[in-house]
Amino acid sequence: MSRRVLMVDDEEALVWATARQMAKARPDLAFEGLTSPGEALDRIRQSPPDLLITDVRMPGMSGLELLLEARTLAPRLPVIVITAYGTAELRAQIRSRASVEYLEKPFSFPSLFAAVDRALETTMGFAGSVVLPMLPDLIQMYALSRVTGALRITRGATLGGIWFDGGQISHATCGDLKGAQAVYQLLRWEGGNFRLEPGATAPERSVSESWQELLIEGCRLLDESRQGQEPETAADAFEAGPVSEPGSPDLDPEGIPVWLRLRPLITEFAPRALVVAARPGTGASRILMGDGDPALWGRALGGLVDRAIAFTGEAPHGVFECTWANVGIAVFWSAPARIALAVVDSADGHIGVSRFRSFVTRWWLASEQELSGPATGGER
Amino acid sequence: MSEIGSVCREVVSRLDGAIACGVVDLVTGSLLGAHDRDGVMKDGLFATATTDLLGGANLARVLELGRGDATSAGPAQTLALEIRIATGTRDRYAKIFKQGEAVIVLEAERRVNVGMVWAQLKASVSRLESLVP
Repeated sequence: MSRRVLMVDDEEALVWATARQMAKARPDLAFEGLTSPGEALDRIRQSPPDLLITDVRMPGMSGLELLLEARTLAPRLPVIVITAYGTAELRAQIRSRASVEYLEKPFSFPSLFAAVDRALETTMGFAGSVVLPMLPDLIQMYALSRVTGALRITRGATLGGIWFDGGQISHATCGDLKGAQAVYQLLRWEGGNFRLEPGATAPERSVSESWQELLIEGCRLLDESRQGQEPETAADAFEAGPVSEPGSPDLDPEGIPVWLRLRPLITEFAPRALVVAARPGTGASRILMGDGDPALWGRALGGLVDRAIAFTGEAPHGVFECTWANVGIAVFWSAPARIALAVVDSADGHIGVSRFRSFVTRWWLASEQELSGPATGGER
Repeated sequence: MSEIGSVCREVVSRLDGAIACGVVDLVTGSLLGAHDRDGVMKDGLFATATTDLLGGANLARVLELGRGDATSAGPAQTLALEIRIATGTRDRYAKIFKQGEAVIVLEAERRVNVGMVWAQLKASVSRLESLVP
């Protein structure tokens, strides 16, 4: 994530020129220029930048007042003060504060960039990015490090924040939620971006529980909610199965799952057939037509497809077809799409299954060049 | 060449598009004989994968479910099963015989005449019944 530099100066031309020069000289920085100190304060309250550049004399609020307010929100925020009215007293006042640079107008852009580099180095630490599977890992890391600061988390348009005070969580927000409920809600998120603002203090105290208590309760609630979402049946598991990517072999050109498309055709070809769709390896299964136990079929088809793939030397797609007496079973599988479709026709096994197999073979495997020729041989 | 291997060679030679033919003992998982133009059945894995697919409980379970008799756990291998597995490039045909204890497998190009395949396999099974221990 780019480091953010916020500049506020009522000279609009200077802000505009700085933005252009900064984009050329420091393209890795995210620069934002404002002309109103009030607006700048709101922005800092929303999300403190990594560096504040402020003019001193501005209508409504002076740069020094802005500095004080900003430091209340983000105590370690580095600041560069620029002014055309520098005095010995002002310089002394500014230098008495930590992490504040001072530049007199007119200044050269190289000198401003050098000041920006110095200011950002003071807060650099180790920078980088990390992908963590779970938010609790991140919270635990900051808590154990006894961090003081705000952990800003975003997921889509929703903003969240957890404020640490010496490692303990003092305040949390998530959208409209606040306090422990906000932490619990954040723990439900399965992805997002985060950014730590070191030194930021909480605008209020909304959490009284220890971070350990929050994590234990949050994870318990998370488990409960996941159990609630767990498919209870093989049929539910099938519906909740992986969403196919566009171009996946189990989707037709319009993006409709083939098994859904095939249902009316099966009705035509083998009206009394039992039709089962399954996701091999998961036990998930769904009876599309006829009566059957999805759980039993899910397990049986998964095992059969695994073995058929091994038997054919890892063929990604295939049709397993067997007939005996008057019963026919055809199992179509697509390993990349993780789907198997079984048609069992006990009324007219040979004819129904053969017609259905011919149809599916043409449709499902048509992309394979080897199948683009005329149909092979006669039917049994 | 064993007599079983000779039967397999005849099957391959009589079918335009046939690539290999082999006979597997589904009880022991061993390859009893084969004629192979492409090396697909010489690999020890072939007999193992064949036994796993055609002699294992999974196929039996699918057949029982298909028969609408999910509660009976009787072995489905006793059925004289004919199985065809089509993949993108080749087809495999299998005919189980000797009360489910052996299988003859034919690998062929997709252009092979399916009716001729089954006719050849049925004819060979009558000869193999006495050759398979």
